[in-house]
Amino acid sequence: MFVISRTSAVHASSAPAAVTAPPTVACDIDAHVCAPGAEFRLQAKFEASSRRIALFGPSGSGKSLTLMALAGLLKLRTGRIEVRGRTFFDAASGVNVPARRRNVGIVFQDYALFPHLTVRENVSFGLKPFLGPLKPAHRRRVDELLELCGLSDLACQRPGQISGGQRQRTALARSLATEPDLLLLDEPFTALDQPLRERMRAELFAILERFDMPMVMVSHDLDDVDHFAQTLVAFGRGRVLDVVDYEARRRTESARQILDPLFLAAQTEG
Amino acid sequence: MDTTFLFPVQLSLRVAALATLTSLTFGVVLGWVFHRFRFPGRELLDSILSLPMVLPPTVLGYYLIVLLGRNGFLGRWLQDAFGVTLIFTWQGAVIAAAVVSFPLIFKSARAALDGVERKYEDAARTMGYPEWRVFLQVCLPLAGRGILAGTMLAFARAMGEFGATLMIAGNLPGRTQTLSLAVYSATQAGQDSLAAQLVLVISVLCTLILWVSGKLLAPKWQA
Repeated sequence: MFVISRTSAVHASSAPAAVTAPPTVACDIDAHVCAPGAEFRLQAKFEASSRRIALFGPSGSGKSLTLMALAGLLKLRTGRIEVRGRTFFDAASGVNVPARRRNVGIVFQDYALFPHLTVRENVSFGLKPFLGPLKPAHRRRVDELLELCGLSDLACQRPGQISGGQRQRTALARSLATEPDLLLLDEPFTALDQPLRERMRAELFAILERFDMPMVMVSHDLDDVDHFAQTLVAFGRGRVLDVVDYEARRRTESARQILDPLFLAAQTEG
Repeated sequence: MDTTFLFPVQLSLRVAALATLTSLTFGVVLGWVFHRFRFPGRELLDSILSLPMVLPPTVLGYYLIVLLGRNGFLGRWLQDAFGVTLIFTWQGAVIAAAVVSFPLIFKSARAALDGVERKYEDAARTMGYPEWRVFLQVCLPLAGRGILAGTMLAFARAMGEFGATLMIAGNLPGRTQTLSLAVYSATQAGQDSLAAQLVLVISVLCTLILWVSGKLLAPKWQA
């Protein structure tokens, strides 16, 4: 669909043949998060190399916070985050790439669409120069994304005027527009009703399959995880309990066989 | 038309417009600073900046004279460096009106900016927006109506400013006599019909302003 225009100079350089690709996400963080009235400690350490990583666990287990940390939206003091070989954060060497330079797309739980902008303006937000119109190439990309996500007819509507599923696709199109190196999905289906949910899941994954882009999804829903995950990172009470090669184990086990014990462990942990 | 009527109306509009512009600039910038940063003494500074809203205008006038008067520490410097005197000039009235109307904009800007949920700013940041663009293209549009409503109130307040203006700019007919001062002088001098005309003008204007700002505060988008 879109040719990702990263230069091939890096690959063409005279690197030795047997270089293993860096992990999609390498994360080792320790953060205190102060919410009003409660303090939460997040200790997330995991490494995952597949293209579809699910952060799974009950609510309050720290998976969403981990996602925010990957995007650069959570203040960290210690630890290290690396995405596709790029160091985003390293307390030891004082590296902290700001969110705007990480090139990470994110679909927020309630989508966080700009209520004052139309669907089209939302989708083109990340490509918009401060002054003046979009570049022709960017305009075409926005048109393609609107088409791909079935939003062409709604382009002039505002988020308040469209359905939950349409909002979700708008949020997805908006996050894809900037061609991120990594796409983060924060509980993408919880804001939707159950019957709509299954349809949206199918639609969303069909869209995502057309993009060759690594993704990290946060969910506490077994079906979401089962449809999505290649690698599963199980969270419980602010810690990573286990990293599972879900795709491999799923060949011999049922989803429940894998996920139920993890869910149970998350509840008893600590 | 009679200049005794026209001059104060014109002067008041000019003074209020310039004062509102000044307090809008400072109010929005400081409102953003308070929205965006945590620093020691934050709430104390907020209280100090809001003081003009509750202090008697004469007290503000006193402060302004101490600061900007011929012997005031800013006033003397302005006189020595630029040959500028603010006391008994209409520019002095602008400063008085700006100080008095500032908290109305500052307070509403801070509240409106704090009302912009963080997720919208964060979404823009992940799409490559530097902080100044987040402010201009996310915060301002979303907080805009609140700020505008505060601005209208500030304009109305600046129009009606009396005490601090009297102390710093005086009540010189044809030079620094604003609408509210002219009403006072006309009443004192027994020019009842002039007073009535002026009162009518300012009443209608302020009603209009309050009505429009009320409209602006009504919700427009559903989140």
